[in-house]
Amino acid sequence: MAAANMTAGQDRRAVAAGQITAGVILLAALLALASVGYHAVERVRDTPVVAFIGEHPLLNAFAKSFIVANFVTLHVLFLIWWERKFAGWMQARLGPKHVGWNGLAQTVADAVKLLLKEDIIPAKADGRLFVIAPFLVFMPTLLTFMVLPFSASWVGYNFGLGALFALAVSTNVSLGILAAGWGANNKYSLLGGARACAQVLAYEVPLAITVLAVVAVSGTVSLVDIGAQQSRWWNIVAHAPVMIPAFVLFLICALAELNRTPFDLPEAESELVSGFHTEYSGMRFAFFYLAEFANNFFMAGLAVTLFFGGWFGPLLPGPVWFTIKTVGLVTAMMWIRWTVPRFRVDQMMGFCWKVLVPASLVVFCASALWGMWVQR
Amino acid sequence: MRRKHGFWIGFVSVFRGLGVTLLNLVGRRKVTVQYPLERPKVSPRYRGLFYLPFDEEAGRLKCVGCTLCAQACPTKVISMKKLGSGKHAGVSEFTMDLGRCMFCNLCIEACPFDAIHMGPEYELASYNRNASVFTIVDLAPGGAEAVRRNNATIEAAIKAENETGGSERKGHIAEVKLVVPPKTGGQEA
Repeated sequence: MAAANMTAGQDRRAVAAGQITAGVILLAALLALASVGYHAVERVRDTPVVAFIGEHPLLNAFAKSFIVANFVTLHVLFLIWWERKFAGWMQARLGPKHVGWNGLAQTVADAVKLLLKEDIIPAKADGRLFVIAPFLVFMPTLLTFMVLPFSASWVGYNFGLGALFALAVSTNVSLGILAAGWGANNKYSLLGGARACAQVLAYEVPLAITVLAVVAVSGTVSLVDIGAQQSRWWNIVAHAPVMIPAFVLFLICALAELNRTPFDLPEAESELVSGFHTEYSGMRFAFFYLAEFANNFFMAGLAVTLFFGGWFGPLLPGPVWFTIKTVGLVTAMMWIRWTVPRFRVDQMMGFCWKVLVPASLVVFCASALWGMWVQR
Repeated sequence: MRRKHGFWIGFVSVFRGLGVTLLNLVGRRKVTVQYPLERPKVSPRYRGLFYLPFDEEAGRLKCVGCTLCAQACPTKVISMKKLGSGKHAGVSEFTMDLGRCMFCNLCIEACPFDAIHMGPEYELASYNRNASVFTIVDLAPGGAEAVRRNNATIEAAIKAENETGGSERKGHIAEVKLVVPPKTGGQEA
């Protein structure tokens, strides 16, 4: 019996080692493919047709929107798989395993299922608000991705006020969430919507101040310029005394903005069923889910641009490095999500107004002084 | 002062929690058994599907049809038909309706001949109620062949006894030992 157990254990270990090796090889292949793809795209960019599209204002806008919208929709499929896998591993489970290689196509199957589901609008719901809310949540996400710089040239719209634009637009998510909570005509949804609104608006304040701290050090509001300044040293290294506390504050506020655990009060399952999207199913629910994960990627991307050297890194091309860093930060957020329990509502609000706002103001003033000292 | 203390506990415990989840992530064996593809290894004392041990030496099932198990059963799962009598007693039918069985082990504890056991077989779900009724053919390890041999042996013994007049009766009964069901299990396999 013992011998049988041992061989079974060795088999298991061998299988696990095989899986890890396969994963590493696949990752290396993926990175190589991404690099090759990057150079191919760079070459395609120089062809006359693409150059014409790039110069035509309307076609340019349309093409970029098309690319960004597709990226936002498709990268979420990977992120959801990764989150499930990661959560599974943390809980000594395997995670999705059957559809595709290690369950990689599981999210695709789920998305298809959600799209094919019956479209239900509750009889007493405010129909128009109920229908429009998922798009109100999803639209800001799409807009924020327009200014997210994957590299100096790989950016939807090189906007001089990129950081401010991203902050301003991403706050609008709370409008959609409130619309969803109100429109569903369900007390739990309304509570969730109200909580989300209060939370997003409150945490927006320290978040904006922390971003301003980075702006004070960098001396520019453009995300592309902030990224470009970090070609030698990442902000968090070069300006460590002020940027490390700024990053910690940014991370906490970003988690709250994203309604992720420990700040998932708007959709707290154990209190509010599932909060503002209790009544949603099928495609509309898929939109909420999509927006949640895309926002997660965006916030991580923003943090990478502001603190972790944007698209700069050795060997691999810029967009690939940016994606690697961002996925790494998303993973760190998942790690926090599957570890820390939920806040209480009053603690959550008190923590924001009594701790984070003063702390972020202190960090902002320190960064301003540091910026003056560094520039002199 | 107390407030400050609580803050530090909270601060430290967040990082401690992150450490715990990280250890789980990298250092712990996954507990998932992918059931239809992988089979769990059941313990030797697992209480699965019943079986009636076959005595190869005597060429018959160990069961003598004494109905002690049927009497011990709280849910009246067991019914049997006795074959022969006295020292050559056995069963020709032994039916268990496992739809009623709660796998309490009382029948096995009641059996003085160690003639009923629980095996490692656990896939007992069925599509209709009749399928949860297990006859002697399902319960005997050799199936219909074992039952045929059992019946033939007992019938031959009875015939022989009738011819000789049954003089060896007492000696045979003295050989039967009271067998306590094995707690560690797996001895039959």
